[in-house]
Amino acid sequence: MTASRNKPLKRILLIGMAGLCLLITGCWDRTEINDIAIIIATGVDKEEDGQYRITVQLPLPGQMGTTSGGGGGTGGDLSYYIDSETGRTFAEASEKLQARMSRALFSAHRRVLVVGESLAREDGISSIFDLAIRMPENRLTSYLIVAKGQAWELMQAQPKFERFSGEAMRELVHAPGMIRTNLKDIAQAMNTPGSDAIAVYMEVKESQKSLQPSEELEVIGYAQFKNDKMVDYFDRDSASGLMLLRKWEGQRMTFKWRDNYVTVHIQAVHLRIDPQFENGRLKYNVSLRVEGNVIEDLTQVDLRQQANIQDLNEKVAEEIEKAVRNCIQKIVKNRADSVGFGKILSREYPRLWVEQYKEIWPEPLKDVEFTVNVFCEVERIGRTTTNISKKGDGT
Amino acid sequence: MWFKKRHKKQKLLDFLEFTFLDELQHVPISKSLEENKKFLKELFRDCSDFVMTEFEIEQSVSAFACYIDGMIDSKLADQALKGLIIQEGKAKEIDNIQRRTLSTPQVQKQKYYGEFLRFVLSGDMGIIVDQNDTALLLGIRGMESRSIAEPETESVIRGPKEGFVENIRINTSLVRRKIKTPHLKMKSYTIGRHTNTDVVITYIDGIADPSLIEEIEKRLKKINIDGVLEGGYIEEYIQDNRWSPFPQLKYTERPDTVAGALLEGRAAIIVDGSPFAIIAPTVFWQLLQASEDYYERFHISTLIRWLRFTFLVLSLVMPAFYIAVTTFHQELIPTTLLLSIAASREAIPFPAVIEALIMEITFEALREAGVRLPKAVGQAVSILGALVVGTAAVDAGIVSAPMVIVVSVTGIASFTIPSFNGAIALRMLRFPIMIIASMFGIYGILICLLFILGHLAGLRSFGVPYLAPVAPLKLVDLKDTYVRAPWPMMSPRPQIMHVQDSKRQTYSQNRSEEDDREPE
Repeated sequence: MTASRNKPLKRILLIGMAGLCLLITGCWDRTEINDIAIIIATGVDKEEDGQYRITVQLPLPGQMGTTSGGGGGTGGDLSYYIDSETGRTFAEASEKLQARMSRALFSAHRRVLVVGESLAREDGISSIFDLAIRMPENRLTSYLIVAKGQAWELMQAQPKFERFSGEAMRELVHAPGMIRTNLKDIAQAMNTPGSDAIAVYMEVKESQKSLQPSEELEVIGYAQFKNDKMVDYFDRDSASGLMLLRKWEGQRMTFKWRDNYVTVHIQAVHLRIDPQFENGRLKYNVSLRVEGNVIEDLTQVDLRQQANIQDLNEKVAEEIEKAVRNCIQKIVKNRADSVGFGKILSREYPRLWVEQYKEIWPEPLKDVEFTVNVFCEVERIGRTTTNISKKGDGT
Repeated sequence: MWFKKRHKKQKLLDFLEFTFLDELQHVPISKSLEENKKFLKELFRDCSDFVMTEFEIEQSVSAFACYIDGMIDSKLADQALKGLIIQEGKAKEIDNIQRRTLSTPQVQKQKYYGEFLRFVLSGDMGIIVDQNDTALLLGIRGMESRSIAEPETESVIRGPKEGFVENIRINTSLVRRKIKTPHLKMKSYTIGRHTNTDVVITYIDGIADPSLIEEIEKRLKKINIDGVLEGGYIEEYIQDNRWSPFPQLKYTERPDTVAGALLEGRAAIIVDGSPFAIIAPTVFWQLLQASEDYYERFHISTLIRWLRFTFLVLSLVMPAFYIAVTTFHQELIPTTLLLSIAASREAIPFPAVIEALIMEITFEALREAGVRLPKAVGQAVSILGALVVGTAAVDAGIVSAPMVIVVSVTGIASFTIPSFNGAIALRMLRFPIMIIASMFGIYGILICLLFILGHLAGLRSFGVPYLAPVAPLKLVDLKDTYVRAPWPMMSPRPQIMHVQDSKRQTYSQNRSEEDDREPE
């Protein structure tokens, strides 16, 4: 009886309490879509006076939909605009930016974070990560790109294909045959003992022989970091070695074989890096098993012959070893462990690592001996017959 | 039997003052023809459709027949009266007349006015003979009725295309035609003190749980209303939770759906005057099932059920989700999509929630207009509708294009739910969720969904939990919930129904069928 009499009261109480739960969250931050300024790309530079310069690329929703972006230097309306401001901290700079913007800066959709080379080389990038972690809006999955020159120069480029240069940068990093390094990867490489970060390194290039030359973006290679400072970069030649050592496939290698040139696409990489101790001396056995495809072969050699394939296999292995050695040399020279040899060592010999190497790594790299074994198999020769323009044997 | 004695002392005309017909339950028919005549004449004063014909049986005994014009079959009436007037010459006893003279198969005797009048008003012909205190009722109903046609609310591609009509006898016969067994019971009741509407509970004895039938009867008997014009009146009386937006009883226009429900151990309530039968008990999942699920091959039936589940959720939360995502969680939208949404929203003067409400309410109005208007005008509505919920509204800058798509998808989603009353529940709940979503984002939507889920889990329909067989879980019954298993695998009847006979097919039969199959 009492239960049924109290039922409505109980129900009201329950609903009231549940309603209160809604209010305790502080989630009262409704923002309409046309009240936010979506940041596509942020550029970070160091000014001569020691201040940080922040450059943001913001799409103009009102300009979109009708015309595609990128006026190509004709002065047409762009569907985005770029603004920049300096400050002693990043937050101060963006505060100043916000002061002249009617919409709230919204960084959750930032595609790329562009870092100017001078900032990367002199100041280090760890300052960036403070703000990146503090603001939940900032995505750690956006890509970090090092610009040759100033970051804003890269952002000012007007690549033809994409509406925004930020989008173009992201697509370039996404392309096959690229090591994708987002903020999270870089932070992880930086905070893990025995490894150092790399980041995609880009510059502005003018398109060649175009009717109207446009400013395009081009990947030069990978910036090599030591701790948080950029020390060097891997160019095209050493980059393929770096990719192999980081177990990334998809790159192409062009080299001279017999009397002409061949291009081979690396399709699969099986990698083993074994640290060993020989007479108390640290030694790394790097063994690679690579599968490749022939993309182009100017030598006119009949690749259907087993002997020829065998020869090509050996040649590719030789080229790969060269690339890998190139990369290792750069790592040793700069004492920047872009592959993570130290990390591998720490896993194999955790105790020894802690006792002897952890503190001084990557300094010991200079005394390390590397042996590189490459076994290559060209799996597909890319076609079923010889060059179709070649004269047949009459059958 | 004190009341009989008292009644006998009273004159018949004293009973003219009454409100409801059942008050005449125990008023006996008088032996005096004159008195009866006077009584009926007075009773049906100003009833131009009441016909009373006096005649003499074999020129000796006077009698009269009474009926409601238009409700009897005049040919049959003619025949019956002819027989009476010409052939009857022996004893003028009612029994004799009934047995020897009348050629009508359906004849019953009635001693009291209450029942007598009820049958006459339902279309029987009443005959009262002088010096007899028993009246005869000739079942020669010949009311005009709509012919059986394809059910408009539940059309199918494959399956029977006959639907119930407004005549309860035709309706019960339609069910009987599907289930030809004496175990199919049809218990008849009269509900509505003025309308005296015939209501039939039908179930299969031996399958349906007897306590379920008892419960239905109990609830039906409690109804004390002056009129029942449609099953909906009864539904609101007998449902378990009157305040819930979710229908706890399913209605159908299809005899095959009723038959299917009966075979699952459910009961159906058929109400005279309405082409809709009510099925009890009903669980939530039934609202998402159509009769065609069982006729088409099981693959597509299963897939279509999944489609309905998906769109069920969409019809409930799609606009709310759009509002939440665009005003709270912009980071959840893929960047390019966000940019195009931003571009299309650039010139829109309203916040997303107002925009959504405008569109949704307009859409509901359009739907209502389309249902209620005559068919000829309906076309005009759809043309206007395409303008209002379409590109014209976008071009005018009142709503954004993505919102039009959201509203359209929501509209389509609510049409994919086979039962109209189930779809209505979700339609109604959509609005509060939208408002909550505009204040609390996805968090608010989740809270709303939890509330709805909690409510659904607490509902019951005639003792069966509304979410059964999913909650409480009955694994065997899931074969006909998320999927529709092939018929040979559907042997057990739904366990949630507490059926008496739990198997549809005996195991041995099933086995032999398997054995008969020749290996290839």
